[in-house]
Amino acid sequence: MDKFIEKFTELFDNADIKDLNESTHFKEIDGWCSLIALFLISMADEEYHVSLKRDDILKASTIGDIYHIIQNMT
Amino acid sequence: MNLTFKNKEITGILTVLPSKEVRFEDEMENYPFSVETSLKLKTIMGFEKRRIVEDGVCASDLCIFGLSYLFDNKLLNKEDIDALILVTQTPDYIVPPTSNVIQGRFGLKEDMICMDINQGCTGFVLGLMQAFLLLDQESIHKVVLMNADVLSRKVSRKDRNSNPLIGDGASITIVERSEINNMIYANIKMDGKRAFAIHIPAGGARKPSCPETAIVEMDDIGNMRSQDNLVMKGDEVFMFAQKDVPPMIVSLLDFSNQTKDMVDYFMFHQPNKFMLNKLADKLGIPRDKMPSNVVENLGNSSGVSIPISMTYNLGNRLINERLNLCLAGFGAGLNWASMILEVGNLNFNGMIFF
Repeated sequence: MDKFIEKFTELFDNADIKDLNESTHFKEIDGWCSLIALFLISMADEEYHVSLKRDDILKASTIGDIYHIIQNMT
Repeated sequence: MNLTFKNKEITGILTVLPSKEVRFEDEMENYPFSVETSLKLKTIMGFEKRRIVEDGVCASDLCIFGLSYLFDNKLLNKEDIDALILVTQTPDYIVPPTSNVIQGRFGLKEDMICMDINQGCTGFVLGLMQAFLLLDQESIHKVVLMNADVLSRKVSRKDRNSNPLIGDGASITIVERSEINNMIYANIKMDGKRAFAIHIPAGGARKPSCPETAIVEMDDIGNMRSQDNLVMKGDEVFMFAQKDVPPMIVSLLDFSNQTKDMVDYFMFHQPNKFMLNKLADKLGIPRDKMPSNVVENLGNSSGVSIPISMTYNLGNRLINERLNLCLAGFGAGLNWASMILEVGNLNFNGMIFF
């Protein structure tokens, strides 16, 4: 989980984005947009070899939700 | 499916680009997103400037302009054309084939084949395959392969998903039997289960265009488009390119008994810079061997992007030397195809502006 949060934080490429955790509502993070969603899909592919879908991201609220979706796919 | 073609070659390429250039910054206000987000998108995706046709310009107009240039400059003789293939998703008419319109415009001989093929981003590789197949006929010595699309006319100006990247253009590729013995290796795959990942809902017989299909609506992230417009499922298309394209290239190299190092350039279709860079990294190909500068300078013109990249990036080199190229197209269908062939000592390889 820690590694996932670290990777998730890197998606924003912004030093002000820190201290994210499992229950962070990621769509409320400053800078969240469809481009970051694409980076997330790409990261899930590269790091976890899974195909995350746009609908998965739309339905999820917290970083933990996304993590569990990915875990269930692997 | 693996395919081989013997003793065929490309002998010339001309690309036709619209003179009209639009810049990403000038259109940012069309999109309901913050300037900051849009600028980030610009950097990552390589959105800068692109070429689109003026209102009313059709695929055949670009092709006719290019063919006239070749005839006028004695780079191509009308009588020598045994087949005219037009690969396009934006034909002038549903009936007749646009290739026939072009044939008639120039008064080409009746003893020939005209053929329209509906293909998107795979269109250059698939068009070459068709040209090679025709050249197996004794009567066919020279095939003129045209790729042309004016998709800007089908994309909503307020759709940030597609509008910032779309470009228009045409290419004319001369394909002939080769005087030197050669072998061209290719492969192609198709998956109609994902047919609607890239789609124009209205305008065909299933849903004819009418006032209702022209109504512009907002999607769930704020893009505005109608059913007459092109719609792309970005996540599906992205994953398609990342999942299906690399194994195709690995398989083609294996089939042709070549290594990555033996390929001088990987001339891939250019959807956007991000997708292409990810593909290069995934395949372990240095980014300078896979040009990705067409979208930022000219736009993504679907099946025309590979020949545009060949004229834009390898212009005189393909006239003066021979290079071993790996081509790959992937898109609407969903279809994906690749080909390894030597290209060089071309009679011409240039760009003109309409």
